[in-house]
Amino acid sequence: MTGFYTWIAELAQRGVLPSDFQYPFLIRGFFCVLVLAPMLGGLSHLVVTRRMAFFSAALGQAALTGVAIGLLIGEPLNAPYGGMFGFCLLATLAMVFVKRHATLPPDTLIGVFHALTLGLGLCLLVAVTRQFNVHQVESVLFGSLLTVTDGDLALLVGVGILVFALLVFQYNRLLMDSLNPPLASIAGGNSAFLEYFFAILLTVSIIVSLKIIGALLVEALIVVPAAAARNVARGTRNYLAWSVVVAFLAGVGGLVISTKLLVPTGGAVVLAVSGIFFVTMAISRVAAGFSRLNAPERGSH
Amino acid sequence: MTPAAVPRRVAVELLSTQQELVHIIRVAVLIVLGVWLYLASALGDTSATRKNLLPYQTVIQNRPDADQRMFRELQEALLEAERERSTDGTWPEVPALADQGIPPFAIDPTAKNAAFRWQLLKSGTLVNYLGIPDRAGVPAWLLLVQEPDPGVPPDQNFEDEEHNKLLDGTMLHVSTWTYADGTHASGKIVRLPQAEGWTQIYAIGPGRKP
Repeated sequence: MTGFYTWIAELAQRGVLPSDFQYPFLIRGFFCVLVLAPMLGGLSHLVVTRRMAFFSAALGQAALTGVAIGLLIGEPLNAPYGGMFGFCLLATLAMVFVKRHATLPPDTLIGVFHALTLGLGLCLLVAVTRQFNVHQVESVLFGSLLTVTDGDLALLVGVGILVFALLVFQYNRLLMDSLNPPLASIAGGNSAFLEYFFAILLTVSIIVSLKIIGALLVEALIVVPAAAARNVARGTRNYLAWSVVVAFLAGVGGLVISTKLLVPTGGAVVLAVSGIFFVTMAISRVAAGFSRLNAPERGSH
Repeated sequence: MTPAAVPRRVAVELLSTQQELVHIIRVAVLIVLGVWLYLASALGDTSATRKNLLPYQTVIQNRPDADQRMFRELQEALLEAERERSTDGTWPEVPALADQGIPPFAIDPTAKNAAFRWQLLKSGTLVNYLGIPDRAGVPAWLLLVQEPDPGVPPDQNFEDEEHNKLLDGTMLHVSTWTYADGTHASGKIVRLPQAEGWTQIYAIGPGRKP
């Protein structure tokens, strides 16, 4: 990859690309955004439709616990993926199982898991700080482009392709199950399987996004793109397309903010996506106002 | 009623809780097994220090002799500067360190490499000892010290390469950085070196007790 980074840096120095591209971390960050945006944006509208926003937040916190476990069992500081994948996938299975079979409302149950994983994570982090200085874990909490390695990028691309392929394969069933589970069951979809399947897809997507967005803020990039898209979209395809576009714009915007203002990438991305949300909300209001104004005119003819 | 509109009966059989639990346990076992296999292969790798390094970090053993010498001198100079900071409460100026003959600030008549223009830069709690070389192709060097913000509780981190405790108990965050072609380095105070193309140098690696 060094040759590729050198080539991009030369283009940046010649003025063909923006000057910031002379740094490898920014090139990696840009490629991360190129993969993250369609992946999280594509999942985003299904997360909102299936009412799994709080579930995503709980998973972000669970990932923090996974990092602590990974470090405690001796994984390297910059890639505690064993701990993260292991703990988050097990937590996901447990959350979905309990949610499906308990009589309490889902948000209450997820709240219990959310508190449990965070409490466990904090206790383990205290143990971790006896071995490592806590600054090393900050990048996982808040996200940092500077800590993204070529290995992380390769993992992100691999998971992105896998998620895309599986999502395309099951998209119609997932969508129908999200909108009307009984109808999806009658049409041949296995509701239980789809629920676990989607939760696992979401989990792996969150884990590979953590180093860029951060554990505390990752749910924002999963929920807000769909919320913003809903303000302007008409129809399901349009909804999906807008979710991806909003996630991409937020990713690139966050990258620029983070680089120029030297703030954590996760926070910058969330600021960008929130800004887009309010812009789309305003557009939606204005469009609705125009519709109301035009409606009587049409009626009078 | 047309044949297409004839209602059809579909039996939807749901898994019992017990059956579902059995499936979940099977998947959980697979996950644990997969993670165990991954850890067994990943943790067996002896280059643990290298794996702990972020993209902008390296260890001094991988650098040329001239860099290793400069790194060692900077570590010694940092100790001297910290000693004065502990007793006088201020960071010593570069000429004062040079007058005491402390390398790399003092002129070294035997040095064959480039000469450096050293300067002390301060902004709030941030302190830079920045050395810019006088010729192209030679790296610039930076000692970056972050003092604790006033009024914050004492830092609970243990002392390591990046955390040095002064005699009065103040914990400093210190790091050593290099910039590949030093003449291109900015002469201004450096706040976030990793975002400006600097590389952090470690002696033994990040976050480890020495």
